[in-house]
Amino acid sequence: MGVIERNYYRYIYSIGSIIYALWGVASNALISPNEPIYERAITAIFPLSFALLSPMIHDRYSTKVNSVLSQVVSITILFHYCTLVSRSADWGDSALIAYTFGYLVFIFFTGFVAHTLLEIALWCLSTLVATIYLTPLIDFISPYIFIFFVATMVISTTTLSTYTQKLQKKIRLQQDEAIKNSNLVAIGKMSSILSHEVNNNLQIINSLLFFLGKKQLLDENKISRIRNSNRKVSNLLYTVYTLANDRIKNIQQLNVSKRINDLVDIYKTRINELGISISIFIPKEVEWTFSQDDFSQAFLNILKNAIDAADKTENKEIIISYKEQESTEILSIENSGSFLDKNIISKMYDPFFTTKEIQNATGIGLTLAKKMIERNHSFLYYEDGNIGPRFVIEYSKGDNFEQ
Amino acid sequence: LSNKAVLVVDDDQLVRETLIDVIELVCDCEIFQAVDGEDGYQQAKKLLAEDRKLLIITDVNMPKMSGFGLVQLLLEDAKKANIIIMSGYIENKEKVKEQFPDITFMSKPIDLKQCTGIIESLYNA
Repeated sequence: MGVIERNYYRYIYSIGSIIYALWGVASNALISPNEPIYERAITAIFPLSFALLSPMIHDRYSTKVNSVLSQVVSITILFHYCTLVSRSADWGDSALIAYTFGYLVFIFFTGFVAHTLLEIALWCLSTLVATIYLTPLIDFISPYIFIFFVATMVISTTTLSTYTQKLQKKIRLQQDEAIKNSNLVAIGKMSSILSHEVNNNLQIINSLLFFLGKKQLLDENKISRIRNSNRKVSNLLYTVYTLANDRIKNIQQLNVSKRINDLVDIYKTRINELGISISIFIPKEVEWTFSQDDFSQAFLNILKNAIDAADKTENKEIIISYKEQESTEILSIENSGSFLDKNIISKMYDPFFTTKEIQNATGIGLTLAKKMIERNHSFLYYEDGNIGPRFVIEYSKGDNFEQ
Repeated sequence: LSNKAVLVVDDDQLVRETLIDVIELVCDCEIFQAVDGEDGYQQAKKLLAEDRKLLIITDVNMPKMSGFGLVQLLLEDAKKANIIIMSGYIENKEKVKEQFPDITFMSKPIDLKQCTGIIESLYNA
């Protein structure tokens, strides 16, 4: 952490850049035209490049790129200063004074902004040592430094532009996510209050229905129709609430095979009654890091749809299978029903969309299933299977919840 | 005076009255009502002091004292009342599970068959 507040970086570096630029122009003017080209380049381009580069670097000061670049810049400028000292006899005192001034400006800005006082002291000490020991070797070293410098500039500029693009994309995604989340929080709160108000009134209606039924003032058929409507209203609110309150619970190492067998057992009676044959092909050892609640709810919703679809066909078959791929694991739930057409596929995850008879469906099963699977960093999608429509849960290997 | 008592605690008058109509149909017991947790606690204390066999059906979000506050007080007093917590707030289901794992929770609109079943098994057995 620097001595100066991070908010001031931008201003300090702007001033620093101007001084660096002046330093570059001034030092180039002082060099004899007979000097080798790389030495002229070093003296002139160094400060000018820093002038351009340092604000770019320090706008992204918290990254690894910045830290590496800062070190490179520091080392290069140290050699730069040693070059100057070794040439001071040829160039004269005015060049030495101009260089030393520029060098001090560099230390001041870079040191105070990006480093602690201890680091600045170490920097000054290393300058002293380098000046004494490196200066006699500078004729030998300086061509390599030039190459090193040019390479660094090329690499850093490329890295920075790629990094900047990535960063901008990341920021845009985060902004989108933030907007989405704030909307969700508002909807979440509203749906909570709304569900309380509506459920209270549904409670009153249900109590009255119960009373009327017991007193035989209303026939059971009518009562059950009203009660069904009530249930649907309550379910709709529950859906809105669940969609808006994106909280994940009960994450654990889930034995997929065991869980699926347990869940299929819930519908075993119905499956047998309808004469549907169900086959499960999942290795016993398969384990996923998943919210048990989400997995169960999502799987049951998909299974319910598969049962309804299979029931309408002659073969009446459901196949649940597992496949391991390189980086993902695939769980397929396939039934012998007819393939879904594009119109339905594009809308089937929309809330309240249903192809079933209105009386039996709420149109929220797949909406919730998709939501629950996705918040466990997995995917739910449809594809045409071997015997009919197939819903696929694609799980990414590894610990998806590691931060 | 019947020894069996049911106390319905809810700040919504219509919810209270219609629920009482239902309970009257299935149970030969005296039914009391309270408008919030505080009122509920006072009445429950009195009824338990009279050594009544008491069932409390309470809402959660109420003025003065919530249903959770009421249940907490009753548990601290080690009062032996049967309790059902009901709520229209979906998130309360999780809260009850965490705070009072042994107490029955019903989401509003409550399943009246289940509710009357509990009352019947408690009093008509």
